[in-house]
Amino acid sequence: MTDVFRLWGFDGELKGNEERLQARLPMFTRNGLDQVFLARKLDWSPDLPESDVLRMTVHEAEEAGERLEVRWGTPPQVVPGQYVVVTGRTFGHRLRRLGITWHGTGVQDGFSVRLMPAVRFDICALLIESSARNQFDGAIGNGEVNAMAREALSVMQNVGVDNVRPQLVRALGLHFLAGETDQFVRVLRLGARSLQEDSARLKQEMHEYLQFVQASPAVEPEPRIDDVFVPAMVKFDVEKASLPHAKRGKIIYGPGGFKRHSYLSEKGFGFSISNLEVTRINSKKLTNWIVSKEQAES
Amino acid sequence: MSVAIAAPDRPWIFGIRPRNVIGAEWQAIVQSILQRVFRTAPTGARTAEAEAALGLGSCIYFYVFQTSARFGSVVFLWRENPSRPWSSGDGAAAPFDTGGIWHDRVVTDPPLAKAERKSFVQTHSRPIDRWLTEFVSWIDTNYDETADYLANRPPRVGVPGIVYDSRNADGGWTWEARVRKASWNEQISIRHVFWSREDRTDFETWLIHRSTLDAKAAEDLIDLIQTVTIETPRHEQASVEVARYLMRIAAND
Repeated sequence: MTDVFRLWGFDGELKGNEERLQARLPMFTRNGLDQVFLARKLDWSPDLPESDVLRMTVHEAEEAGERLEVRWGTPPQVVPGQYVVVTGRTFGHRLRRLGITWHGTGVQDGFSVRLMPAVRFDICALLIESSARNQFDGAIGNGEVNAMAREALSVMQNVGVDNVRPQLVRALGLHFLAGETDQFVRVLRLGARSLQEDSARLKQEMHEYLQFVQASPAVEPEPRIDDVFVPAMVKFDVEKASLPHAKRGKIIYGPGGFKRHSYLSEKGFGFSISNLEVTRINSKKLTNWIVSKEQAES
Repeated sequence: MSVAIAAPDRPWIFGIRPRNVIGAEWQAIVQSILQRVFRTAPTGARTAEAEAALGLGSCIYFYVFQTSARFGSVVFLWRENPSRPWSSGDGAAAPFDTGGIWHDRVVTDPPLAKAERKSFVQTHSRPIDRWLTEFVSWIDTNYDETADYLANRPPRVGVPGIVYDSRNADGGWTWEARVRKASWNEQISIRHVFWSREDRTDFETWLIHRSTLDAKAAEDLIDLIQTVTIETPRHEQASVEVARYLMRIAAND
């Protein structure tokens, strides 16, 4: 038994493999076992079946990776209910573009790591989507069809919130203001088909939306990442975050009725992390490992 | 068991691996499947090796009246188009995983030499235009109830040489239909797509905003989706719901 947390990041060679690797993000080491758990699903959470994770041994991981130096001032203590999140180079930059602040402890080569309270993924998705929507509305309200607005729209579309209509209306507004006629016509036609309603109604809704945001630019403060928590940035098309955490047993219900997990050590209290290691894994080697694992399974 | 069973009630199953395990945009693959564009679909290296060694040609593979968690993220059920009957050269069906024979995933006793595997697969393959009759006959011969096949129980008789014990998994006795990519056209159509609301929403969002498909074709796909979708619970693989669906059919036998 060991109290070592092993965190795995990726080295940025993800192009073309983002989705594949996202599905296998290392999620946690459990019970101090010297293994890495790789989630099979984007929205994996600890209460999903064991069959949804693969286990990579430390030996396999170290063959495929390189341990990174974490510039801890003081080694952290991970307490129950916390996630350990590792982010890549572009992640913080992308969040900052959306007005979301992100502070992590520096790891070499631009990676950062931080500890944060754990909440359910869908709560995070809603908050991220809300933040991106505010950012988008602010830009459009000021008549700015700029890269930030497009970025915010992209985040809204990728964050996985099952709320298609506001995204459609905003996408229409962006194409309309940008004079992107072909895209506007396409989104209007297909969006109306998808929602099973009249395209004229959708178009009217877009105009109402534009009138509203242009008359009252968004003043609602942006959620800050310090308050919002992002245990898994798995829906973002950016370098990936990994979120190892320890799981010990029981599930409790937190504010708002959503589940939280309490992480209890065998002593009945939180893990004391004596060492926190971050290893960068070569994405090609990891892909090869996943393929060989799948072949062995089949 | 009735041999009068209609093919639509013994559907073929084609599922994709968990969407995020796929190396390309999973939505692009779903789009190709919905459009039945398989001629240019890539073939994995191991599949290509088996196809070459076994003389199968380049094929698309389906489970016959069975599902699998390995290919269970988004699952497509297919039915035959009565107006476009099969030709015997369009493909074949076999009561085992043919690729598994080549790659030693299906165990035989005595073991088959590499040189023997092609003839073994040929001997036990049935022309695709007779798949239903052969499949129903197999079920009659090997099981008390169709549900036993669905429950992945090994057959009573099976195929001589294949071992039906713990050395083999269900690939040793699950029926596989293979259709030559070059022959693929209108012989079968999609009856249902099993997927979660999240997957469907993600796909439609991609289709609207990212796909390069022209608007009319995209519109047709949206219409098709609305017709054939069966939504599955969020945190459950689609294959689980498919298994329930097939079991309900089997219960009526």
